[in-house]
Amino acid sequence: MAVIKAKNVLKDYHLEGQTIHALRGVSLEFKSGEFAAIAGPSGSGKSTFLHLAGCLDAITGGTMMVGGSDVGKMTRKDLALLRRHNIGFIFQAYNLIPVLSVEENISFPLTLLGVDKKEIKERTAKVLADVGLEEMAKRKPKEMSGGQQQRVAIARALVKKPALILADEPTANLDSKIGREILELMLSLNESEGCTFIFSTHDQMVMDYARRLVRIRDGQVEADEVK
Amino acid sequence: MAGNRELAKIALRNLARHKVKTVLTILAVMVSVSLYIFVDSWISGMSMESRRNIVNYEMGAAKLQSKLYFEKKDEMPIYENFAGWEAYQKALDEAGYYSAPRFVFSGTLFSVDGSAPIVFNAVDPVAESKVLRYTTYTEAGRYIQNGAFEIVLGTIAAKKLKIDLTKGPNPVQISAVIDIKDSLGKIRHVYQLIPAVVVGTINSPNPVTNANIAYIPLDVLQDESGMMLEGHVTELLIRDKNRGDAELPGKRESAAVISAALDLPSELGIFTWIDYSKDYIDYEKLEIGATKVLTMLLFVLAFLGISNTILMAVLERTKEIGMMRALGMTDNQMVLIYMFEAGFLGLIGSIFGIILGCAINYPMVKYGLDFSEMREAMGADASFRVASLFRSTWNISVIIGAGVAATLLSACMAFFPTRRAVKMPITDSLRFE
Ligand SMILES: Nc1ncnc2c1ncn2[C@@H]1O[C@H](COP(=O)(O)OP(=O)(O)O)[C@@H](O)[C@H]1O
Ligand SMILES: [Mg+2]
Repeated sequence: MAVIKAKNVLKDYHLEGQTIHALRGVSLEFKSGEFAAIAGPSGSGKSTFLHLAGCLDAITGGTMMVGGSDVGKMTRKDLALLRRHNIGFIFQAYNLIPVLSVEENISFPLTLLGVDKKEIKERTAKVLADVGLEEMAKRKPKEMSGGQQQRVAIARALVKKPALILADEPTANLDSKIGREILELMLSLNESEGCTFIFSTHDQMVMDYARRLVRIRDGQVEADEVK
Repeated sequence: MAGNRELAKIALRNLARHKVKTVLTILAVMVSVSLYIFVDSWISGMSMESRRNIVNYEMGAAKLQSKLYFEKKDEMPIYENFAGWEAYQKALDEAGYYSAPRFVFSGTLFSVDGSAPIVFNAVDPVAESKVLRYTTYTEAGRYIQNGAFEIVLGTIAAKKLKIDLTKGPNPVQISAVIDIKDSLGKIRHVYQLIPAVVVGTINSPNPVTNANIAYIPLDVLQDESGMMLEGHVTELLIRDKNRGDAELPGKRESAAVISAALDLPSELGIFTWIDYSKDYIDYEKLEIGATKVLTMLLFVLAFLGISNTILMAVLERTKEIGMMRALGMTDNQMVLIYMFEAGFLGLIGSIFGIILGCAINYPMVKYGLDFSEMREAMGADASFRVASLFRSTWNISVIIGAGVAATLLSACMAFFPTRRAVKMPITDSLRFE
């Protein structure tokens, strides 16, 4: 089954009176259980594509199907619920909630889902250990390094084991050793839970891990190879 | 659904982010809530006192009077009088009411050193002191007695006429016009000069009794040497014998209940203190309305403060809002977080405001405020009937209501700024610096 089915997707941004064609007709399909990377130079539209696939913005043209539903035809509330239940997002800039501790940040998506307290505790502790931050559970985001914050953001996306995880340059702030550990963790989640992963990346290591590599340039798909 | 408790927790922590701003906003709410409580208590104390004073010092609970007189009461139509009041007084007495006859007329009073326009109340001193309380408030001299051409004067009029009771007798002349309706309904005017002596001055808690007003015994005005009343009066003041001074007239003092105790001819009627105080009540409404508007302005200022605080917060946290929405928060949940935050500001401000309001109000209720000095400058028209000391009253529903309203209004202040923020595409929020 296709988790993402983008057909001839266009995306324009309007900035200071100028129109930027960030995506110029992208057609891509990602099946359930894929572990794929999108690579391309800076400004080529990688983040834009992930944002649209994650229902964070409206497309300008074409169709975008996520989990079998046409995103363009959904209400704001349904989109929010789709994100809540099915999508985990890892942002390029970690975007943690500053007033919540590491632990609370990670458990936040579970709280939104209404998971019971005990289970939240267990799952949060486990994923904290997986990203190697058990000791930092009580810290606030601003008391941590960039790499550590990135790991919290990753843990927050993984904790609810969503059907689709979209990761925007997840290893950009990590050293290669931790980057590799995180990738292994994602891979195991992909294998055990069947979570679909789509990365955007510059990082050769991520491209090596990926089982499918899509290359885009100037808002268009340049190559798409399954390894 | 995620617990609202989680949203409330985030809202509370958000409050701690800019402590100074939070404290200032809370202070603004606190000040406006406490002032509102204080002013409301003051104005309702003033109204309560005024209403009591009208009843206790001006007119009792109701008047028995000619219906035609009541219609034209502003012109003081003394020809619309009636006789046979003694029978009504007896019936009222048996039914448990005090009553006092009066003949009210206007004229000019001349003293050795001056003159002043005066409203004269010809009264039965004994009956008068049962229905009304001003009779004991003689500032100088004593109250009038039956059978003599004696006058007590409001202190303000006495001052104008340079009456000095420490320097022997104060002879005065009453100049009045007697309007007599003949059998054809035509009104005849008779000019009358009546010599009298001022024996006392009145300074009661109701400024109306202290102004250009005089009281004179009714019995001496009956024949040619007086006002040729021949048993006629313009009104009979009525009060329930069992009603305390602190109480406003009760059910037994309604026009219907009093009328039932009497066998009145159709031209006479019972007019209650409320019928009579329309002007005052209108004034009171206006005064209360104006005060409310002023204190509301203060509220508005406090709420603009809250609105501004939330607006800045929403702007500053644009990125955060985008990220929370990306995690699957609905628009409504996002709005709710900020409504909680603003609501908390309102709630904390209200709690402190209520504490402060009650604290500054306490001495006003317990000891009151004496403003006799201020009073003289204010005059004594259809305004508040409070001459000297008055006390604020506690008004629990207003105190709680102000707190609840401030909290809810504060919460609402967050609605529009947040609503606008969540309409932004999430990607734009995330890129916002
Ligand atoms: N929200 C936005 N508003 C305006 N322009 C944008 C926005 N997001 C991306 N862009 C522009 O669209 C193009 C693609 O950006 P992006 O998808 O972020 O590229 P990448 O992630 O591959 O570096 C760039 O030119 C970028 O400046
Ligand atoms: Mg990017």
